Amino acid sequence: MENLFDNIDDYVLDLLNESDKQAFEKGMAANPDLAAAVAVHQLEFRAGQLAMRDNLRTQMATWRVEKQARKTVEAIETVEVTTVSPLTVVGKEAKIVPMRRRIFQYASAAVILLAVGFAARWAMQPQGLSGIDMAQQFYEEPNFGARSAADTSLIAAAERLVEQQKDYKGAMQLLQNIKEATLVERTLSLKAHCAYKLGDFATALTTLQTLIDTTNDPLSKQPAEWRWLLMKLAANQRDADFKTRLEKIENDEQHQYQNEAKRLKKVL
Amino acid sequence: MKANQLSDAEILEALRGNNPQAHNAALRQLYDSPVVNAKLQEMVRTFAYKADADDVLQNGIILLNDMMRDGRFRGESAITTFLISVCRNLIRNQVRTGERIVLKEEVKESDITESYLNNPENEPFRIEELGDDLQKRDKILRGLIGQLRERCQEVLELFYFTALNRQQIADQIGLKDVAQVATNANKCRNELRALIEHTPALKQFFKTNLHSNF
Repeated sequence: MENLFDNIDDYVLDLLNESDKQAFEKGMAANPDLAAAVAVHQLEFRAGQLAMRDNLRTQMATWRVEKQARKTVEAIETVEVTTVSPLTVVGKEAKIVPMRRRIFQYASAAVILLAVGFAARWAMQPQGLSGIDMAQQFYEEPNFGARSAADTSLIAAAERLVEQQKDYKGAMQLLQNIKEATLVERTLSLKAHCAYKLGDFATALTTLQTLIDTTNDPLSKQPAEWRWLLMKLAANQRDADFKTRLEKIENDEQHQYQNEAKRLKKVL
Repeated sequence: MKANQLSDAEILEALRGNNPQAHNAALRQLYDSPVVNAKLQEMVRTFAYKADADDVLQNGIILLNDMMRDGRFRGESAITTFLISVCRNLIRNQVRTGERIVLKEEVKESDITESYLNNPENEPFRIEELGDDLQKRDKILRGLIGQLRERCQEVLELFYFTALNRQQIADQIGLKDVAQVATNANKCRNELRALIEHTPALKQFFKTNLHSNF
């Protein structure tokens, strides 16, 4: 092999035949500059792989929303079919059961109104994307980590309720009784999660804002800021505060959700 | 089969090829596949998976795509069966994010068939979780890509799409395209490598990782 530096890409991509590969590795052992260059190329290709993954995830976020839209339309069509079909039958027997016919007529009208309502709601959303769907797409379930079975604290019990039984209301009740100052962040975080799961985005938002104001630890603050954004999305509040925080995260290289913020912006 | 639906062979060809649009369309078809979606719903119920079926499908597609492009999936197993097997491993092991794991093959690809999957005990892959240091490395690398000019990001996207398609390169198809894309991408690649070299937090990774897929 002539210049080993010309073959770094091929080595990193595992395209060399066995003898060239051995020669290359001998060269690396003898030349620290070559070894260092290979390491940088390996990191570069890893970065490329991650960028491709992120692009694909952004694509799939759009596909998911479209899939959910199709399901909604199919559900409406199914309701229409099942409602219209008996109406036709009853229509023929209207003289015998006029009351039933009226009920079916009302039901049919209600379904049509419902369908129109859905369609109007759908059409009014930018690019057909629902805020709740998008929030759901980007939302990460909390990872409670390892917990000792002997841990009988209220917070551990609340986490168990959420993790194992998805009992968000029960967990909320337990959380109300936690007063320890050392557990404030953990409690607020779980409370916001439960509120989100219960569809109470307003409570989730205020809880997350309290958490953001309470902590200076980036490991707690940054996820809270990101979740706050998602709650704003779910609540369809894409206001100035939402935009400011999205831009802040997007431009903050130290923010652990910077890439997610960029992906969200692309989808928006 | 609907007129615009691809056959398994066509999906495979599109995924191995260098046309991003065709590649995307093939992944989309897998994502929307009623067979795959129905199977996943069933597995989510069977194994009491804690996230929803769509999350696992997205992770499965990303892992399948990686394996396809680095030559670890060769098409010896039906692609939908392979995707379902990847997803089943994730579900069984309650994996919620594909970003932090690596799949290691436990059986030959050609052995992954529907009848193999009928036995709930069979697991075609071993799941290894990336260490904290590697997760941190990935986070930094993502940040560095984000620092490049938008044009560079686009050029590199195409470059890595082509360059990481090792199966295609090994088949000696499209080498001219690869060279052309590489020429266009050189300046941007240099910029990215300079950023990597000047990031102190990455210094610990400047040791060459032999026999590894970066």
